[in-house]
Amino acid sequence: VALMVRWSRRQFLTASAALAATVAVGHRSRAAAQSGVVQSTVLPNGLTVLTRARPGAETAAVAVAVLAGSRDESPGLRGGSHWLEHIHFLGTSGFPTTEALYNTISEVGGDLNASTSTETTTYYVTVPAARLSVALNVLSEMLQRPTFDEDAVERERGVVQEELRGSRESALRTALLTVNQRLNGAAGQDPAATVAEVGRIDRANLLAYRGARYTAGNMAVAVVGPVAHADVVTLVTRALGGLAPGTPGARPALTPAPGAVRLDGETPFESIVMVGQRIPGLGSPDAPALQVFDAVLDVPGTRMIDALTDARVAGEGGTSIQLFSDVGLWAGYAVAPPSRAERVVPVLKDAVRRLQDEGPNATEVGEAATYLAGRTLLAAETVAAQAQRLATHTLLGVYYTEEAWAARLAAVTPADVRRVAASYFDPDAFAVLVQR
Amino acid sequence: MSSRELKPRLRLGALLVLLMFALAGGRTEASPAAAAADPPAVITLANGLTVIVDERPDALAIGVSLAARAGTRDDRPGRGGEMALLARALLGGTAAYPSVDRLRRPIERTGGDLELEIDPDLTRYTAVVPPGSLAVAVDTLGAMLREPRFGITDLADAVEATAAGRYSPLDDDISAALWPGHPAGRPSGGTEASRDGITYADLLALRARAFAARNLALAVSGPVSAAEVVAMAESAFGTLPPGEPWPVAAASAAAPDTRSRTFGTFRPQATVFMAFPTVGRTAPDYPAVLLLNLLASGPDGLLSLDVRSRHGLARDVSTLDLTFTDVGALVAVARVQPANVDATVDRFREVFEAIVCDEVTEETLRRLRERLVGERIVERERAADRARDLAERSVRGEPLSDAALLAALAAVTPADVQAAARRYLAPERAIVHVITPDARS
Repeated sequence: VALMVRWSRRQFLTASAALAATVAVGHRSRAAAQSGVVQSTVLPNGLTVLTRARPGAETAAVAVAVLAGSRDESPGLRGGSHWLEHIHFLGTSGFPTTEALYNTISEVGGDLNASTSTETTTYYVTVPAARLSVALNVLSEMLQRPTFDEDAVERERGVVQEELRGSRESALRTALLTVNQRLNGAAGQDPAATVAEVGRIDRANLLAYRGARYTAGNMAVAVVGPVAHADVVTLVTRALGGLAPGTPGARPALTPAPGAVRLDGETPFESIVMVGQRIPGLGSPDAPALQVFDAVLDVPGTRMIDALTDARVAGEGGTSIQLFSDVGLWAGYAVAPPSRAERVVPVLKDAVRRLQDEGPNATEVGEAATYLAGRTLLAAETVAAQAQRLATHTLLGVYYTEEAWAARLAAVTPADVRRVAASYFDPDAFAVLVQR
Repeated sequence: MSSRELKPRLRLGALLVLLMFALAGGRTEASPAAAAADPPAVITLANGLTVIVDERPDALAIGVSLAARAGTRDDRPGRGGEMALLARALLGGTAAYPSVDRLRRPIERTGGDLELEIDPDLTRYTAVVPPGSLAVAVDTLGAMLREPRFGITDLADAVEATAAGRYSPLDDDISAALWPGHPAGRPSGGTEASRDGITYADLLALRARAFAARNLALAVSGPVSAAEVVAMAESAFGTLPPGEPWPVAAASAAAPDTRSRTFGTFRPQATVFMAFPTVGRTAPDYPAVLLLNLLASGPDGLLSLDVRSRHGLARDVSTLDLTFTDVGALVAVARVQPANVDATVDRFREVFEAIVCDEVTEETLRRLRERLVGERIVERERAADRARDLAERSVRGEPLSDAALLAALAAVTPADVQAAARRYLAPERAIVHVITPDARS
């Protein structure tokens, strides 16, 4: 595969400037840094380049995160971030079809994919380490030279809608989305949106949204593998140094959390009963303690299911926690016969009250922290997972290495859990949803 | 950005038992330009257990895989399902952890997981745990083999699980059509009658043979040292009786049963399968068949390009590569709207005919080899996959590195691939099975 960007004088100067700006060990020789070291450079166009050295890895991953998620969508653009993600795979000047893009990566044995979340859209590639330039070449084309053929883009709207029709959301997940959106407003918007919402998006508005969001200042590139930071900066400068600078996109301010709200609905099956609370996000110093609080209640803890079964109101239930950058959602839920639905609510609330009043014991906290720390490390086992987390969390200003996050979880004490239970939870003000 | 949404309950966590349809073959250690990984350390304990240690200091997970050279092909006549039953029964618990859930709990408490996989050739238990939790995984696997509870309830549960099976009837049906008369063509979980014929004494005897030290390999990959792994392995497995390696008994399959079959489903989409029996991993044609499979498969393979991209008949086109010691198959799979079933079958036929008739160039072969090498590097990234691969190779008696396979692949010529295509993908050898809601009665 030929490199599609020539090494022009302008780019050489750009690269030189970037190298001069490299922080930390940017002046070291081009050997891979010590395992796990994270390095960062901001290119002249504002693009953040991050590396994490994994000298023992045989693979390398590149993730490009864009600060363009469902919380950034105006009402007329609901589902637009996801549709945009799709159309970047339709072809580029250098790779005119979807197949051509995929072929370039699969011919070296790699994987190409993307995902859209509430906060970001991320494009990522894993390749054998020696093929890093192939990965950057493809991502460069997708992000800088997409063809966006009018007919193909419109067809892809149908593909997205078909995906939405085909997805079978569980009643429980639908309930969670309802509570999240009610409590957190735009920050709780579902990235998928609905078939009708995707159908209403004006294509010109979508491309204008892209123009505002897909700028260098609004993006971060992370490379994880047996790489040297200076080499990566050179390659990324060639590949993405031409991105328009732009500025970090502003996000709508969080709406005030509503007080106690009631969100009833209908379901043809057993009742879903859920209580919800807005909580701080990953940027909070209390985020690890909040995770442990949740895990003490449910997985590996059993407080919530024990409370439900002891009260004989439900045989199935648990809790859920979602932490975004600046806000989060905690929910307790049960699946119960409709006749017992109203009796579930005080049981869910009382399980939280007991933690507030008595606090957890050291064994509970130790088991929860061990479990969460292990899950954190195992979830980041691949270089692709590490690169995605590095790019997205850095862009959002909440990055800790997986090892550092595991250490923070391990440091949580029973007193911390009791404190966050008292500080951030008010069972009397919980949002309550009952579907029956 | 969510750190977690709905959580599985640990105590309800289903035991994942997979009939391994993946190519379990040799994999390369590095691309030409990648840093060469240190070869794994291989140690043999006094009782004959092979211990393989793949030290990866900066990995974030530890994979621990215990493989036995015993699979469903080793079920005795009239005792179909006994190996699957035994493998499940061993997970029934130990004296210290007297249930399936309790046995798994120490591993799950670390955030890790434990899986059982069984296919015609092999049985493997593979755990993944975070750094620092190696002992939990090794101790659990050791206790499982040393002191299984084997209570009547465990066995009843295992029989029920084997009967319910994670082996779908269609999988069994395709296997039967591909390899009539061969052990790989028998129902992997047996039949009700064959399971009824299995006695407690049968299982004990099978356990003694299948899980003897010399018939096993333990492989560990991750941030560990060979010394600590060997010490733990000695403690956990050192008292296992040596036994003997269990060779693969020679077997051959009759001509494939090429009658088309249709099955009903309650799902709205249909699934089209077109399968061809090929060769096992020990056959001289294996390297050529490997490249042939690659030509047809993947997002840029000929099947996907034609059926999905060119004709828009399916959103999802893939291939299953079933390769065991002495039999193998290439299976094309497409998930389609019921109305597209016939057209998809026609396209599959056309594509395979083209593969048989069209010449393969040296350049195509070069690209396929490069893709194969790259895929194997990427596929072997996870600690559990690396450990499983090493344990499997060991009990198969294969080299732990890909050097021999790569040399064999380099020697394959376009004429070899063409000959293999004519030999194995001829239209009259195609087996077509369809699952469709239209067939529901």
